[in-house]
Amino acid sequence: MNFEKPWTEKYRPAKLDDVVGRPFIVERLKSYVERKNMPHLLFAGPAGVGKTTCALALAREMFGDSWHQNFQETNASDERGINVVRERIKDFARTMSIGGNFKIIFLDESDALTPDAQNALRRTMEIYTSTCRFILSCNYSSKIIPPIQSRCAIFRFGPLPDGAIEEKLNMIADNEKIVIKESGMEAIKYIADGDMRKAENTMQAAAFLGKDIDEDLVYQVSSRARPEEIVDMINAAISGNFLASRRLLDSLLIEKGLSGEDIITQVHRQILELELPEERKVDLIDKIGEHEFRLVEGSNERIQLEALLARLAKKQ
Amino acid sequence: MFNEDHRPREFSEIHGQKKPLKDIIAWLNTWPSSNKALLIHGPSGCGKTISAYVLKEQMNLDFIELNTSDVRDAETIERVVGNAARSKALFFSRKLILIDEVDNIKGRSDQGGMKALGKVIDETQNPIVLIANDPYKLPSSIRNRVDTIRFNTLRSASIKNRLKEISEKEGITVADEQLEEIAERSGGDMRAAINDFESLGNTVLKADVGMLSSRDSESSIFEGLTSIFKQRSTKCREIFFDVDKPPDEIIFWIDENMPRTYHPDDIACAYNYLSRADVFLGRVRRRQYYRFWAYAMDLMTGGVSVCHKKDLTFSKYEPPSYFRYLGKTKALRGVTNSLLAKIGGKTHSSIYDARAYIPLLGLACKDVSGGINVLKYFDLEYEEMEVICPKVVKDIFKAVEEAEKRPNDESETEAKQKRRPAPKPARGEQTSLFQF
Repeated sequence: MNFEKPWTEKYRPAKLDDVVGRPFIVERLKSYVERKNMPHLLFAGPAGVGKTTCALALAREMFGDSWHQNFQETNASDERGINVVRERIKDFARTMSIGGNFKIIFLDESDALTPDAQNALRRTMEIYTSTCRFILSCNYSSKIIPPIQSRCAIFRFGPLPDGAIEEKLNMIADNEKIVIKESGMEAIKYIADGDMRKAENTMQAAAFLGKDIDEDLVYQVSSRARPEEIVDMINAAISGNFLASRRLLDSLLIEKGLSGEDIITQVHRQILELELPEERKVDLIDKIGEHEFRLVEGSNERIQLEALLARLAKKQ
Repeated sequence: MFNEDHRPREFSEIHGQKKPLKDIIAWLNTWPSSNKALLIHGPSGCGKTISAYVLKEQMNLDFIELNTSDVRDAETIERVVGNAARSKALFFSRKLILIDEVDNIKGRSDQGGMKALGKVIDETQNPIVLIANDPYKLPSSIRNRVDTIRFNTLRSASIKNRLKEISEKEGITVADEQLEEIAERSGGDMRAAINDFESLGNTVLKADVGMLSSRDSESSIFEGLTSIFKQRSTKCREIFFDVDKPPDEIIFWIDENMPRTYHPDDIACAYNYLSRADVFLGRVRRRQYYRFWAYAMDLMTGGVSVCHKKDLTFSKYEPPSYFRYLGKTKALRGVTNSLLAKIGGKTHSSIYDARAYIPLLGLACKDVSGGINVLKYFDLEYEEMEVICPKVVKDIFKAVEEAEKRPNDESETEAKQKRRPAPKPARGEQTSLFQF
């Protein structure tokens, strides 16, 4: 198996009809294509469920060959601050649309913008409404301020149904001439949990390890994706070595660049798999929840994670 | 800055590098017998650049220097270095061209720099000295045009001796063991050791002063920490009224030193209060309601103080390591971010989601041809590939280089066309520096 490009790209649907598992959304989007017009849209849903794919396919069908000139992808959390975003939007919106009445600006992760920045964005949306349509994508629509929500048609993307993931993976497997066993398929669906990006990445990674993809290969791959340092960090803490676990925490936060929420989620999962008395597990999960709450409320996630490690390190 | 104030001016002040220094002088004195440039390489802080400077002063050389703060594209190198290189020095003064951090000539701003440098080396009338950390990062067009001298990582004894000299000049009294510890910790990096020594030297001094005279109106953070760790009382909050640091910095000093000092059984209790204090800091930040600082301070000082049940033994206070770590890893994080931005651009995902591709790409690089495809598809640089597959990155780049050497093979040259193809025929029997 040689690497050509990520399968998420190779098999990204080019047309709305090729999008699996989203019949109702696709139908509504197609009606915009027929009318050659659309309102601002808000796509809400977790990672890997087709928000970007639908936006790209919509633009392709709306504008045909000139879709590239009429579609701009901007990432709110990668660009530094709302001003950069606004400048880019301004530049893009200034020129006329080629082969259409408007252009589309796709703003990914718009819930990463602070409420102030969202208010600035709302003004920008108003100024360019005659020439541009916005598609905002976010994980949680509740983090989008009401005035923006009221200006958008809202589309909710739930996790993809297992059937849709299976359909797509089978199509890819046929095309790549690999065999995916039933146990492998089940394992991928379990790990992906409705996230197509994760499903395709897992299958492609497994295909590097062997031609017949079974459960073992899939779990081999997914354990690679989980930073080993998390396990080491928990073990160091539980054995009472707080300082060592803190060093691993720093490397996860700084070098691996994981967020505090990532780490605490992984710790939660990992605790369930540890060899500990069940009473202790329940008690620890209560503490993990409390520290995740404080992490959201607090100022510095490292202090909260350290406090959690100290809890793990404490003898009962 | 000690590093500036105590820069070596004589060869005797450069510790632990006698052999390479001798080699450099010999190389200079016999130049141009080899017809090549000189590449000095070795880890950070082992004395490469300093040696060149001492050389300049001791041998009275005329110096043309180009380092990373300059733009080093083809034009600049040709203009600055090329001219200097071709004009023979007048009278008896000798000219030396120094290019520091050659392994950092890269990116858009330095376009064509390597190519121009290769040309200058061929044409020069004056010795050229290149300095780099990692010779493997240089293109073969440069590696084939240099003699190399390696500076080894300094032994901690050499570092300790140098620190001793500095401490005597500065009139700081430090125990030998302490110097040894600093030297040991630096991992052979003299510059780091001197920096550490300077910051520690000051804090040791400051703490001493603080203990002697309580007339100072400003208490040091060390007094504050001592008050938390020495009593079990909310009274220690009062000392912190006079500490001239904001609460969100003070919490990191306590966070650093408490677990080093407290008995393991007491750490969880203390962290519970630190974590509560942090929640109040978060509320201050979100609501700009500064009254909450009072609760944050009381919890992080008094709260932590009442938690130690066992008596404490004295330990040395450390500044918050988290920020030092952040500083140290800045370069690496920059590389990771640019890698993720490239992956995100190709896969329509944010920097955050782009992380999901790294394990996949790591597997894709298991064999060299897969690695080359990853390199091409995402248009990556060496350091970015290193994040994905640290073990095979060298092989991948070697393969790309070799593919470029084959003139008619066009399939694999696209990846790094900027790099010079086919180097000149070798002068000696060794066709490459790395062929042994």
